[in-house]
Amino acid sequence: MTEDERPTPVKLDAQARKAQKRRNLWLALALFAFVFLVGITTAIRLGDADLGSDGGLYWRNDPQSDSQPMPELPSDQESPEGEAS
Amino acid sequence: MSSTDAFDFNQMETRPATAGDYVQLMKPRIMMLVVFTALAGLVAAQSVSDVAINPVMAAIATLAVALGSGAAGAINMWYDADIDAVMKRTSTRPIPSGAVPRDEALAMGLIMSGVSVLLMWLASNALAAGLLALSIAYYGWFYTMLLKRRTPQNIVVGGAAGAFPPVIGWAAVTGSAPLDAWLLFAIIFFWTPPHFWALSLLAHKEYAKAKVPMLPVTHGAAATRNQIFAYTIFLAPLGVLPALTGLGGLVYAIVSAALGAAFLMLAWRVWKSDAGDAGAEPESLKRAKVMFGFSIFYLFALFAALIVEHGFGAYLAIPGVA
Repeated sequence: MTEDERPTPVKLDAQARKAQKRRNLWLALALFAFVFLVGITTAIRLGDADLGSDGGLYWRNDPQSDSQPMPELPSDQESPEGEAS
Repeated sequence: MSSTDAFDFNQMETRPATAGDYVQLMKPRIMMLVVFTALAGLVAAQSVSDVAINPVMAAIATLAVALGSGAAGAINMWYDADIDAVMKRTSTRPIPSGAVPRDEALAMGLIMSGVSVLLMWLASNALAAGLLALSIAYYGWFYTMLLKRRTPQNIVVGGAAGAFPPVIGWAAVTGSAPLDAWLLFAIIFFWTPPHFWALSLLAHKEYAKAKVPMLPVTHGAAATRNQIFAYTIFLAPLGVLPALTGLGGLVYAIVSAALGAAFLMLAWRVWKSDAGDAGAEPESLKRAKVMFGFSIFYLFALFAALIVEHGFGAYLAIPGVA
């Protein structure tokens, strides 16, 4: 792209610039409000949650894992038949 | 496609948008009604089901409904900008008046839709969020883009969009949508045609100019007056029905019966008039105008009665009703 092909920046008059600034401020406020609302709902949900139970803060793959221990893996001495060379 | 397609938004004069223009884009008057009916559903659900919702969560859920309504309004204004520019009543809206570019209105509508559904989900549950998403899509896409310019039954079918809020409010509290919630849905659904057609009797020339197939444009004013009366005959007893299921108490029963009778009388006066006909008497047009205004008051009063009964402890059970 040569220098002549560059897009000319739009020149805003004072009124348009003022309106743009005002819009930007409202957008910033709206974003802040959204973050605040998400934060407050999260805080309330965490406050109401029973974090001590299985369905607590962290997701668990197997809620029964405490009562059903993982089966023991075969030891190195008992190698499966047919695999020994 | 209509002749309004010829409207060139690139050639129109623009003016700097104010905050008020963006508020107008969200159709604040419709938003008020939506929020009010959602709030009534929310308050009634807490009282009837004995399930309490955290007040902050309830406020955020209500805000989500308001944002969802605003989002649907913005999408509607984006799509309907060409016909809004043609009709005098809507020509001063933010897009046809050159304050807000169309693309900006669409972006605002889509972003607000996402934000509102997400907030509803966070503050309540998936059912309420799903119903909110459905109602936005119903109004913004199904009614605005498919029905409005195709069929004179546009507002009958499209009326469901405005009927969702009490069900959403109810679902936000309980996570379910029982019969009582759908009863409130039905009241708004059957209220919409007589309410909107009363307005269309006054503005049918504008709709004809914009080539929107409203009932008075396609079937004439007499057929519209018949339909208004028929729907009101159905609506008046339907409005009293919550008192018979126990959702409404004595206050609701009295308010709904008295206002239902008044609504019926006003609809009968419009039915007997020549409102909407060519060369209609000023008195006839006044009757349609009065009925339109009263219909708004009717819906507000019915849902206000529910809020007063369930939110302010004014519920008095009707003897013999469960």
